[in-house]
Amino acid sequence: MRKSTKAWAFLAVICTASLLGGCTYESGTKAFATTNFGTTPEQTTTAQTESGAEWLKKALANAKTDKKAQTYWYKGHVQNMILSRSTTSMFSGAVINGKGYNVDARIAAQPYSYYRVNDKHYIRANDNWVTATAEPLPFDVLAGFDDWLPFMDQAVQLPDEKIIGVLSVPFQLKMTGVDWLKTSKSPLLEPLKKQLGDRPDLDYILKESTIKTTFWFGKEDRLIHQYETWIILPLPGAGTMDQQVHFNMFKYGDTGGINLSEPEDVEKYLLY
Amino acid sequence: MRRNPILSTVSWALYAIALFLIYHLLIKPAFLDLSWIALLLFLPLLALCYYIIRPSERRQMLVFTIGFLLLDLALTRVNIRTTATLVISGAVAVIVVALLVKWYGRLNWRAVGALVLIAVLVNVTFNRDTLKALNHFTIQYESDRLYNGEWVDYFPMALYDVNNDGKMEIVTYGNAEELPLPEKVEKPETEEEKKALAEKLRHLHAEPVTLYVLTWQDGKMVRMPNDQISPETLELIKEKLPTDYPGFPYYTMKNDQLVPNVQRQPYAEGMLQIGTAPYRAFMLDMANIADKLEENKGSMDVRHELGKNYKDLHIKDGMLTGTYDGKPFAGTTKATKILTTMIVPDGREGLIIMGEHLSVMVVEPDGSLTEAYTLTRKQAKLATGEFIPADIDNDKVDELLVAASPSYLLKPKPDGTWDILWASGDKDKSFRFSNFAAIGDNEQPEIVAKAKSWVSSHETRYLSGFEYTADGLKENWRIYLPLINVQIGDIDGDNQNEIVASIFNTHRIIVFKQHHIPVLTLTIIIFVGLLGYGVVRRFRHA
Repeated sequence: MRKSTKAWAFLAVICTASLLGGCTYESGTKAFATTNFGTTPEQTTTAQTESGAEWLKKALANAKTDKKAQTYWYKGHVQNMILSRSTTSMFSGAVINGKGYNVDARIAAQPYSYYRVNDKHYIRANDNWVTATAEPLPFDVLAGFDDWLPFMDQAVQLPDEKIIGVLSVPFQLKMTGVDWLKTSKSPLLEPLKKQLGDRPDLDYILKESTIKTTFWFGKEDRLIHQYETWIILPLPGAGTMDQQVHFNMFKYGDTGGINLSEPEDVEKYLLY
Repeated sequence: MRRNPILSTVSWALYAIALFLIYHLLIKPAFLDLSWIALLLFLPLLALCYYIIRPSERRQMLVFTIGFLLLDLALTRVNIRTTATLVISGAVAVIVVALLVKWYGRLNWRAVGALVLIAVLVNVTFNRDTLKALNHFTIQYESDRLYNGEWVDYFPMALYDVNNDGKMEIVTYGNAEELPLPEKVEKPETEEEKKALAEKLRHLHAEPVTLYVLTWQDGKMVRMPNDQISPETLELIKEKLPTDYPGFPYYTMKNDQLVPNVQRQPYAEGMLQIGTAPYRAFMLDMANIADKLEENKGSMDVRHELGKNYKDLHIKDGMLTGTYDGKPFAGTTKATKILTTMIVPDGREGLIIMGEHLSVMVVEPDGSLTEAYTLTRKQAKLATGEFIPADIDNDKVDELLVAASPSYLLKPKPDGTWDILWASGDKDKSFRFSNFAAIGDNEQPEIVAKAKSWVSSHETRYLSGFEYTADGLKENWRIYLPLINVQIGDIDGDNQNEIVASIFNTHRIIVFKQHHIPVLTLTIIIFVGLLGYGVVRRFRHA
């Protein structure tokens, strides 16, 4: 009896001591844990004979002709990091070329869905389906990839990497916003190009910016499996804005799993 | 307990209070801090408690204990949507637990009454969040929700003596008054109503958002009308608020509104031309930055006053200008942000600025600028970092608290390099410095940081006070709430500093006041006393 009482008393003392005694957080390693800033990417040992531009051209051609590239899933996000705040928009869904796509999306913490099949366009917000009324953009999921072609000959090949189970060959290119605007033929950049003449402050932002884009091409199927751009811009009063635009295209040819609802099925629930 | 009915009721009520205190102030924090270690300690303790209850009373005691804790928990989670739902769900909880305890525990009505009474009282008489802080703080005030909009998770907050009355006002953004919540949501019935709702759902909408200045008056915080604040003071207040870009680049704050820059359908379609996604994102960023620069007339950052010696600071066209101790200075810079000042080893006040890297600049006698210290992006994750100057070792030279992942406590060395006095654990992604200030009536400032339990793998961070020692950071106190926007200052004019903070996505402001009552020790005494009483009862007639 006495023995067990002692044991209990001992345990009670430990409990009390552990609760009463404030703990001390000892220091971790007293050295800067270096970040990946400014590191030159590790060159691959299995260099491909074709350039990044060849890989991109081939991937875009395959995306048009390869039968299995006509249906696939995708997920993507745009994440902005400014000081301690991060704001994200997200997109995920499936594409059937020639038919349409669905998007489960989020803009600044507000979720919604967008459904586009044939010439029908619907938005689902707050549990209600409504008809989308804006003039639609052309249905061309691969639009814009060829705008990178003028840069891709300078792209550096990185070591092979598995992306969602598919062995892929990454190519990376890095430049400033000034170079991007100078060389790119993308019509999307035109308004900014026009604005630059009378805005030396914007010239400065572009000069101090960093644009880093990486493509991951499937080693076997030669399709785009992952696509990422980091945009770092000086931001007034906030150091820099670090932005990651990241997309994955996966499960190419997954005809069984992709099931885009027919417009009639959505229209049943249409509010207006 | 059976002899005197009043004594019996009082005894059960006292037991319920002791149980409440022990559970909330001892056992819950132990689990939050010690995780599985607490479980290892708790199980034998539970067995001990079970053992020391007389076998003939075990059922009653166990059922009372579980019934009380269950009812207390149920009452914290009743449906508070309307008064009716509150009363009905509360009553259901009380009746169900009371009947269960009566029937299964074979307790008399006096015990059941005491159980219900105490459970109800501890749920209606004080702010329950107090329990999470009570070991060292009480909640002096908690505001209503200040924001009724759709999406902003938090706004920046600052303390500033707006009306020069010697106490700090709380400054933040909100729209609760400008955007009252609808009484109830009507379901659209007619074609017209459906059309109107559809039109509303198609778009993201602008929201009113204005500056909220709260001042302490008659025991609570009240809003100072913005029109009673002079434009010059408003300008200074905005400078005091930490720079923030809520919703960037999808929303812009202008003219007391958060205005959307994108819409649902075009944005989804734009991003679903996947190759163009970075082009579109970049153009959206640049449009926002162009507007911001235009609004600032090309300035990157401006401060009218900073630290002891700096005035009229300005970054524009790659030049940093201002005055130091009344004398003008200028120098080139790539920085976009003026952060704060720190005293460097030679006694000068250095100016901390940030662009791609962080620099501590000092002004030379000839009015030129020299970079005395630098912290590069290679060394720490600066983009999402926070930087707090703090004289940790009382040598009149400031150290720099770097809140990042990992976090560092850096001492500037005379040779222009940093000495790392302390770094957070290699695998600890949670730790983040928050403030360096004196709290309550303490004269010595302490390090305030958000830290998780050292043993738990859960990332939830609790606000903690630390003191720097050669062995590491010694914890002084902890508030078991995941607080953000932490500010420290005297808001009620009693010459003691309160902690002002908020909880992510609640838009409520909480004010904590420190006390010196040894709550934890008292609770342990109650616990040990209860165990002792149990042992005496158990063995007196053994």
